Amino acid sequence: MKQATTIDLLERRWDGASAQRGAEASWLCGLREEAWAQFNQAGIPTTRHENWRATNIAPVFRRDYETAAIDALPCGRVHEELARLDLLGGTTVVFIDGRFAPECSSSMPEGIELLSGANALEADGLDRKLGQTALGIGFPFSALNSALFSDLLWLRVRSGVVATEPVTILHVTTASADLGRFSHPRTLLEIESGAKAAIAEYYLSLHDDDAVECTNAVTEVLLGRAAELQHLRSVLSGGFHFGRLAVDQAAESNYNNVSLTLSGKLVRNDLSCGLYGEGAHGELNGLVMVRDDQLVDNHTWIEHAQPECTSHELYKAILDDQARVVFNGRIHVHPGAQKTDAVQANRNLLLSGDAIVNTNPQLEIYADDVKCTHGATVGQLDEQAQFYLQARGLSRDQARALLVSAFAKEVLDHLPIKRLSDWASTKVDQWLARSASAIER
Amino acid sequence: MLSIKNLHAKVASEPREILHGIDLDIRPGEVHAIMGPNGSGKSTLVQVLAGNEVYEVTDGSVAFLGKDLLELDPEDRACEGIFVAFQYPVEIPGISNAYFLRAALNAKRAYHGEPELDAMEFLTQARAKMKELGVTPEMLNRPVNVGFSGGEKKRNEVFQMSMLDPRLAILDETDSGLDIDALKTVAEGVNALRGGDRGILVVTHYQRLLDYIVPDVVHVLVNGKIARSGGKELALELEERGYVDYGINQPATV
Amino acid sequence: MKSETQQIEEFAKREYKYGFVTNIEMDVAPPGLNPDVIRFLSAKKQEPEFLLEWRLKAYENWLKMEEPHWAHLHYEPVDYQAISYWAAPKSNDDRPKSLDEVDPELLETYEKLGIPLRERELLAGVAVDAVFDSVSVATTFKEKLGELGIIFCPISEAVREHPELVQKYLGSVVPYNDNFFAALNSAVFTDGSFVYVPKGVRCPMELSTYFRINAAQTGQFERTLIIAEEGAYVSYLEGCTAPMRDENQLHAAVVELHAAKDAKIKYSTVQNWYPGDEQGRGGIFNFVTKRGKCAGDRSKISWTQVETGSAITWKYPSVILLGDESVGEFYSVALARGRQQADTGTKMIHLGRNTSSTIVSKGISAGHGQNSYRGLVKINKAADNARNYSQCDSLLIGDQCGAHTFPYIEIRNPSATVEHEASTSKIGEDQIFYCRQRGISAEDAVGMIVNGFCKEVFRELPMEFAVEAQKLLGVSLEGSVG
Repeated sequence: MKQATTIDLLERRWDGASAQRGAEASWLCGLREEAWAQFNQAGIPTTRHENWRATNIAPVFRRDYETAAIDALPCGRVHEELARLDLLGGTTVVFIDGRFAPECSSSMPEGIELLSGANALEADGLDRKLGQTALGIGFPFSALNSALFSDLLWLRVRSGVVATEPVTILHVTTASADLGRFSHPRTLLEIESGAKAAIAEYYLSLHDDDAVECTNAVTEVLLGRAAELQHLRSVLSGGFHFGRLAVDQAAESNYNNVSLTLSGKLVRNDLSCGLYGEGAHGELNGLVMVRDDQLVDNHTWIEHAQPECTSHELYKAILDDQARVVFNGRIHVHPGAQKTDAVQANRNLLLSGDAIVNTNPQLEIYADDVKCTHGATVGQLDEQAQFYLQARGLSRDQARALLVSAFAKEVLDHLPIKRLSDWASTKVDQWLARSASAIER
Repeated sequence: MLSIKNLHAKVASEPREILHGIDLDIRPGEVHAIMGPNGSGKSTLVQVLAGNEVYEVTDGSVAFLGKDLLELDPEDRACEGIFVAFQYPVEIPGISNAYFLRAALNAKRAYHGEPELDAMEFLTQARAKMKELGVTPEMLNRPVNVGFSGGEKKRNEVFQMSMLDPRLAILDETDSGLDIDALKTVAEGVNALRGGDRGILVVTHYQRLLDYIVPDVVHVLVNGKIARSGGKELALELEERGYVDYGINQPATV
Repeated sequence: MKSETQQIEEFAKREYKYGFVTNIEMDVAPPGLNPDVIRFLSAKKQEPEFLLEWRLKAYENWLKMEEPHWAHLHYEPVDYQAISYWAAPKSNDDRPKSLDEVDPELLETYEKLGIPLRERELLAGVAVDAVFDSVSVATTFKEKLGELGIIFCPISEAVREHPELVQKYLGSVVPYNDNFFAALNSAVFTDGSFVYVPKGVRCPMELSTYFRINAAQTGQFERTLIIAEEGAYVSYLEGCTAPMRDENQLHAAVVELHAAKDAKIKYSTVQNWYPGDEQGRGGIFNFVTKRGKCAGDRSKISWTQVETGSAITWKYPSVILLGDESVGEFYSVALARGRQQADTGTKMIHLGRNTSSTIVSKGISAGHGQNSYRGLVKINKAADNARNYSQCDSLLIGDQCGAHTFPYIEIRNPSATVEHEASTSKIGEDQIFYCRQRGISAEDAVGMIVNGFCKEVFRELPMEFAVEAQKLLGVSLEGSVG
């Protein structure tokens, strides 16, 4: 009855936090109560739910997770891990098990404000920002996060500020094989009107892939008028991951997300981009590279709620071994959202006969003067291209390796900040090197 | 045959007037050219004559063969004998040129109470015209303008024109995007239609086309008004001096 | 020429022969569904025991099933216990006595489609005793087909005269417990078509329900079974282009196709049931299960549909590609205007090696219509070198309608090549203006552009059908463009 154990754990945590809730602002307490009720009402989704039909999350609830907080923050370990992952340097914010770790973090550059703990939760105006976009029927884990998150990371880029260097946000779990962790990191990224910024969010584990870990993260993004954000989101830990991204874009704003998933036993991302102001541009791009028995499920929603908005979506996946990838992307053009221009593409490459791809690109259109296209492919490397490269002197293996690498890196073209794309490119190469023999087949 | 009096027009959804009182008379058999710099109102004039509802006539009148042209729907104007060779011919996927053209021809015939042309008669006529104009026969089976090069589109317009046998042919920037060989073929096609009582109105920014389609009358359109009219020598003058005499620093050569 | 009396007599005889009605006054079961109703119905139809048992099993399963609600459709719940599951054809007293009593709009449509007067009466449900042309055509058909060993008859007749074929194939493609509506159909189906084409025979003509007069009376739960033996070929046409007035709100038909080695089945549908009025009142709920099995190697099944009618359409003609190198095709035009809602598409299940499938779906939405494409492409683990190409295009006319695309793609074999493309467009003002400048009226221009949009599907239809379908689409869209 492990499932009961996990639910028990979550219930104990809810009960245990009643004192904290009592001390919180009434709106926040209300939000949590509502979220908890929503989570309980929805229950743990099963494959009978349309949005979970290809993803069985029962294993998540068959593990033992502890609740005890850690005594000392392992900043040394965090830095070792960052070094190993080539993530050292620049402005860095570290959250450990869902709590801000100032000792491990660097200070913010001018124009960017970092709030956490009581500073964040008691700040004016938070009630109008938190939970506005991430909640809603169909996102039980968002609700769970809202009910249980213990700390909030609120990063605010002030109006008109142009931040040139990317800010790194690290969500670290201390889970190990012996000590399980079920954490609920919560992030609010606010890019005020006219501001420009780049933010990279990483989810990593201090211990190996056997760590008993479930990270249930929610990131809300608010873009003011004409604001711009380059946003990299990458799961680097080997456990279970639920990721919810909810983006709310004002007029003329520009949002660009690249979601890179190379790790994780079971990763489910629910990413939604709401174009709620005229002339906004939103991009959701993703690259998934999986092997062994990994399962990665990306559900995306693009809401074209206003006229003259454009969106772009490119999701690619490479699968080896018995891995399984799910893509479900919906473009929803609301009534009146004329002159919408939406493009969505999903491309998959299977390197193994045991891998499975489920793809479900969807268009839901209620306005007539729109341009919407989507395409999905599953297939092999282009034989013509391979032949062309061989004709230029590359060996068959080299040609194939090159083509697979090019297939993957097309997504990274949507990451204009060189530091981030170089890093991602290296990670892609490392992954490909391990699957070299499958690629040569 | 065409008599434009004090024509004022604007884009229906915008307040600003584009044509500020145009007067123009074309008699049967004449070839007129309207030259003008960018933004002078050339295309607006063409669209208004064709009946595009994007534009609104605010004042003035247009008579065509004794009828009030402005009262007629676009398709009725076409059936009365006005043909516009567009600057940017529209693509219509899924409809073959042959089907489209036959539908157009038969609409016109029905308008005049004539019997429909059957497929064989149509094909015989079309093949003959295509040969004359150097249009490849496979064009008939391709969807209307879809995937056509700039030159092919223009040639297709002239082909349609010769098939529909209009009373007044209006050519809107037919030379734009054409290389010199394509320009010559298109001009030959137009010249073949010259004569009789057919009127032709050539609208162009550049003088070049008028080397091949020599007009009887040239008008200079500037800021929504005809600034000057004259013989074909006026075009040559523009070639030399551009539109600078009209307060606009644009050449009239390519 | 036979005399009129002779023809009427023949028709009467035929009706008797097919055993539809023995005693009109007694042949209405009370509303509601229970095992007794099924026994009654089966007995009325003099069915063999195996079929009654099969129906009862279907009923037992149906009881445990829930009506599916995953489609993008919104409608008032259907009360299945309020329907009478065995009603003989409406007595003439209940029907309109003449065309004068029929909805004038319906008549106007017949006029535009050029439907002969006699047929108009039939379609509008006027109490006519016989349709002369159809009867004589059907008779000549039967003789000619019989010489080739082709069986083409009502399924109720096949049940009695070819029980071994029915027992072998009925439910072999769509099992009685396949889904809610298929289970219901299996329990209570009244009639439909049966086609059997023996080994190596190429059916020399298009088989059509239109010519089988009793098809108009088969009611809500039609069941069709088509079997093409090794190397056989058959092209089957269902429906006709004229709108069918119908008393039944709920339709739950099942069509099963079985293609043996090297066999080819082409199934074309024009569905033009009553769509309801402008406010969405009335109209047919069309919940259809259509599925073909490419059982043998190199077999081919091709579905072509033009769906312009019904208030609600729930329909996914599918192909199970079991044989190696088998081919599945789905070509569809679906129109939703007024308050119509259509959720239609296909499933291509690749099981054999080197199988291929093609999906071309053209959805047109106008008025307040909601049109959804929903399709599944599944490549199983053993289906090496499977290929699928899907193209789903939507055309929107007006800003009150909706066009939706929900493809599901599941791939379990790395050698698969699957491509799905979808696009959405509207009819450009500039396109209409261009046509008008060439003398073509705006209405004709719209018809022309819509037909151009549907061309890839129309060219899959048998010639005559294609011309009618084009005309139908034009008539259906009249007034849709302002």
